[in-house]
This record gives sequence, C-alpha cells and structure tokens, in this order.
Amino acid sequence: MSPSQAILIENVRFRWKPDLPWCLEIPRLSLGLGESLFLHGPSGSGKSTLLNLIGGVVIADQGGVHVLGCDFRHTRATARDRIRADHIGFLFQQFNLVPYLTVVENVLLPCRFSKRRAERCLLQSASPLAEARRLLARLDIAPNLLQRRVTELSIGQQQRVAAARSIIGAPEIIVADEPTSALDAGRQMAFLELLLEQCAQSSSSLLFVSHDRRLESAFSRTLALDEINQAHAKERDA
Amino acid sequence: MNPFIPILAARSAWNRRLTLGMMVLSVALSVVLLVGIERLRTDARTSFAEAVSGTDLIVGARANPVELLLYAVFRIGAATNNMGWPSYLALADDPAVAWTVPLSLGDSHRGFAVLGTTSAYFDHFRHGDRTPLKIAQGKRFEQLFDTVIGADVATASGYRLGDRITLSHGAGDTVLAEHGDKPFTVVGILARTGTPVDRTVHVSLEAIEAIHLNWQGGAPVPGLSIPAEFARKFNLTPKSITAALVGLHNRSDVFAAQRRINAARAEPLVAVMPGVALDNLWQMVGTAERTMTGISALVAAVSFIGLVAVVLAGLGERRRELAVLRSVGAAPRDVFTLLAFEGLLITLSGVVLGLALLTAAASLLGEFVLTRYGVVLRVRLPDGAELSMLLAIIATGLAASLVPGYRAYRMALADGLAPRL
Ligand SMILES: Nc1ncnc2c1ncn2[C@@H]1O[C@H](COP(=O)(O)OP(=O)(O)OP(=O)(O)O)[C@@H](O)[C@H]1O
Ligand SMILES: [Mg+2]
Repeated sequence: MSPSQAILIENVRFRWKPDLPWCLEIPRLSLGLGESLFLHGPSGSGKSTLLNLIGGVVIADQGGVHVLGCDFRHTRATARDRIRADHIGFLFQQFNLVPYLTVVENVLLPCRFSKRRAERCLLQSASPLAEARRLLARLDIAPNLLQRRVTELSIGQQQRVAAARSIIGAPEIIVADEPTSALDAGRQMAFLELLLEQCAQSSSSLLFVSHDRRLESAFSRTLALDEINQAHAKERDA
Repeated sequence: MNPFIPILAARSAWNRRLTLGMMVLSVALSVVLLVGIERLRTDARTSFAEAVSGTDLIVGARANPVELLLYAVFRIGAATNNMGWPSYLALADDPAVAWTVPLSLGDSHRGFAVLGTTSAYFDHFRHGDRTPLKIAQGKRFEQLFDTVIGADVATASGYRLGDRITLSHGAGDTVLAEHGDKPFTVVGILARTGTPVDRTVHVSLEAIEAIHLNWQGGAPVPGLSIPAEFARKFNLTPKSITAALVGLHNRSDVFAAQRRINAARAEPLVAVMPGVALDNLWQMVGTAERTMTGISALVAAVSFIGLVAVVLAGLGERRRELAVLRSVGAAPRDVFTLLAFEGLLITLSGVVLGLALLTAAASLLGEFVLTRYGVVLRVRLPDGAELSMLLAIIATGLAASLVPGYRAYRMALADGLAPRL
C-alpha cells in the first residue's frame, strides 16, 4: 500500500514528562507527498518537539503519528529508528555535523546507517561517494574543502554540507528545523532555493520549520503551529 | 551492530588523542605493574629452579633448610655453619649416593663469590633443563692456584686465560683482607648458564685451605707468612666445607637418604630437597607478593575509574554529536556501543602498550636484574596466569566502558534530536 501522505498527524497529544502540561495537542496536520510546507510559530511553541515526534525519537501520548503510512503507535523503537534512517533527512539550525569527520564523511553519514539511502545514491551517481561529491558541488562547496574537517568551514558552508547530508540517498521526507537562521538574508534565500530544487529533483516532501515569515513565499503551503496547537491556545486563554 | 560504529569510535578517539593517550598510558602502567610482578614472580621461580636442576639433596650443617639452599646455591644470605670433612666422606660412602660435590664458600673476588670445590663439580653440576657445565675457553683447574671463572666474571672484568687474580677474605660488605700473597691464574672460562655459576670464581678445595694457612679465626696470624710455593707442602685436606651437593642412584631413595642424613650421629646435619626448600621459600615471600599484587590491582582500579571519568567528561561535549548520529538513524543502542567501544579501545591500546613497555623493560633491565638478583627476565609473549590477568584487565576495561555507554544511551533517549545544553 502506498501512502497518500508523507506525514499524517491525528489527534496527537504529547508532553515531555507526565507532570508537565501538554506541549502539543494537534487535531490534524499533514504533509503531502512532494509537498513543501512552511511551519512557523514562536519560540517554545513546540516546533522542535513536533519534529522529534515525526523522527520517531519520542512517541505521542495519545493519537497517531503516521510517517509514510506507518503508524508509530504500533512500531517498535528500532523500527522507528530504521524509518528515520531510511526515509527522513534531518537538517538543523546548528550543530548539524560530526566535528571529527571530514566534509565528505559527514555527507555520507546517512548511507552508513541506511543501506536503502546508500543504494538510492546509485540512481544519480556511480557510488555514494560520487553522489556526495555531486551534491556538494551543486551546493557550491569547493572541491578542495571535501577532505577538510567540518570545523574548518564557515557557518554557511556547514549549513550547505548539512543540506547535502539531508538530501543524500533521496529520502522521501526532508525535515528542516530553522536551517537558515545562521545565514544573512541574501544567503538565506539562495540556500532555500537550492534546498527546494534538490527536494524537487528527488521528489522529496519538505517540512520546513522557522519563525522567519519572510521565507514562506517559496513554499506551497504555510501553517502556524500555535494556531493548530490546542495546548498553547488553552494556555493563552487561561 | 552497525559496522560503522567502531570506525566512528576510533575517529572520535583519535580526535581526542591527547586526553585519551594519557588514559592509555595509565592503563599501560597498571598492565606493567600487574603483569610485571607476575612475570618477575614466575621468572624468579624458574631461574631459581633451573639453578639446581639435577641435584637430589643439598647437605650441610643443621640449619634452616631455606637458608642453606639460598647460601649454598644462590650465595644469598648469611653463611651457615660448616659441616665437617669426615661427615662429607661418610656421605660419599652412603650406598644410595651416586655422586657428591663439596662446596666451600666464604671468599670473594671483586664482589663475585669464590667457590672451592672439586673436579666432580664440572661432572655433576646441572643447570636449566639438566644441562651440564661447559668450559668455553681453557680447562678445569689442575694446579693449586688455578681458577675457572664464570662467564659474568670474565666479561665484567675483561679477564682472559692466563690472567692473574687475587681473592679477598669474606664476601659482600664484609671483605676483611686480601689474600694478596697467593694470586690465582685463570685457566678456564665457563660458558654462560644464566645461573649464579656465571658470577662465581671456582677454585679447588685445597686452594681454599692454602690461602687460609696463615689465618686463624678469620684473620691473618700476625708475622706469619707462608709463601705460595711452600703452601703445597702442607696437608691441604679441608677440615670442613659449607655444603655438599648430592646425587642419588635412584631418585626414589631420596626420602630414605634424607632421613638417614638428618639422623647422622657424628654431627647434626640437614639434607634439603631443593624443590621442597624452594617451595618453602616461595611460601615465605608469598605474603609480600600478594601485597604487591594487591597494590597493583588497586592501581589498575584507579586507572579504570580515571578512564570512566575521562570518557564521561567527554560525553558532555559530545551530546550534539550524538544527536546528529540519532538524526541520521543511529539507535540508542548504537550510541551505547559507540561509547563502550571508546573505553574498550583505550583498554586494548593500554594493554598493548603495557606489554611493549614490559618487553622493553625486560631487555633493558635484564642484565641488571640477572647480575644483581640472579633472575633471568625472559622476553616472551604472555602465557598462563599472565594471559588470564590480561583478560581480567580487558574485562574490567569493558565493564568500566559500559558506564559511559549506558549514560550516553540514557542521554540519547532523553535528548531526542536536539540536545539539551
Ligand atoms: N528534551 C526535552 N525534554 C523536556 N522538555 C523539552 C524537551 N525539548 C523541549 N522541551 C520543552 O517543550 C517545549 C517546546 O520546545 P521546542 O523545542 O519544541 O520549542 P520550539 O518551538 O522548537 O522553540 P524554538 O523556536 O526556540 O526552537 C518547551 O517548553 C521545552 O522546554
Ligand atoms: Mg526549536
């Protein structure tokens, strides 16, 4: 059965600890196949928490999180780790890279944990390494940087390396958590265009989280988390 | 397990090689201590056992058997009482006895022991795996003032055949006077044995008598001087000797022979089975050994606590890195393995380095320990007890590594994809 949605969240409630109030209370949220969704919300509204739910790293206390048709309620932790490795590319604001690995090694990291993504590199290139080089070239990383340690790179360069890593092996879903906030305005747009282009090329769905509304025009749909998140609505009413 | 995890662990460790190198060194030093003491122990035992192979009984005037053995064979400790020459002759006449070798100790030459004996010594003395003595250069002593020196005596002083040497009265710190009036000629140099023989100057029993002709009560008689050329004219049959090595026709007679000798009526004697006396000796030093081993075990424990502390301390800085690994699909179990591997890597490197240091120490200090303590340090791969000791060290290292591994596992679960800083 092929899923109709990349991500489907229904009647989900989640809190970090049993003695805390609900952090997320979402009746419904979906990300279509090939769709690019811009999700915004103020700091602390639970954006990163939502991404943890989608990554299968934490599990909803109530309701269903479905990733590519797989209901995480009925999926063991190891299987969720597998789904994350095989089908989701993550991209964070900072601290995306493993400091003691080279640029190329960082990009190849998902292929080390997912055979599927290593194999899917072959759709575009002769080998995962060649695919890593291709993506890095597309993202304007000079060839002489490839064997450098990532700590020697500028923040902007690191962001692009992280983007290449999230895209390698063409995962169905790419989840980006404020990946551009460390970049200046001009570079933000350029980076975003590159990211969208790569997503389109591998027909990946993109869930892009940010509180910077200036970027939203580039996406097919926009969603405000604090509008759909009942937990925070109640908090405000109280 | 993901095969990439060990590679990642090695890369991460290499990235922090200075800090972790210190831990490797600390583990290595505990290996040196633990295995080194064990090795010294076994080497000492083999060396001592090999120095008296082929001798069934050591006989001397009644004394502590261990003391007799230490003095007669290893020249260690204080001189025991002498046994009378008639007792020795009676011993040689015992029907169970195949051969006897008299030993007369007490003099020295430049710190090396002087041993008065007979030609039988070269026939019957055995070392190592029952190897007879071999004369590398020259011949046995024949003339009264001939001497055959051990390999170390020759190399230490650069003696060659034909060189003349003088002996001193007393040994070690208690050298009293020179027997300068009666020099000896080196007529033979023994091949190396790795036993106290190498550090011994051998002369005939008669020579020992001869150099003491003008002595009485441990000092030269004032005004009395007997030149070497006249010494031969005296009766040089010894009145007493230090001890005798005894070989039996039949080893199974050893207990009966021992009982007979111990019951000798003319003079109180003691017959010592070298193996039994050595066992007693090792029992006596056992407490000291166990204390040493206990201290080294503590040192090892300290270094493993240090290892846990260092890996745990590094964990704080690595939370982000672990979150990144989680985001690309690493399971909490992978994170656990990553951290546990690091500890194991440090432990294994420490063990290898420790063994290398031990080998280096054995080859560098071997000569010193041999001449000083008569123990042959063998350069060899670990075996038996050492191997199980190494396995215990590695197991401890592994157990210690589980601590940061578990901590990282918990952190991976709690942090999710974004580390709490
Ligand atoms: N691992 C965690 N353990 C406990 N509480 C957490 C954890 N992660 C987040 N929280 C709590 O959940 C709430 C939402 O945090 P979250 O990180 O999802 O916000 P956010 O929308 O991503 O904010 P920002 O825009 O600043 O990144 C916060 O109150 C935070 O304290
Ligand atoms: Mg966030």
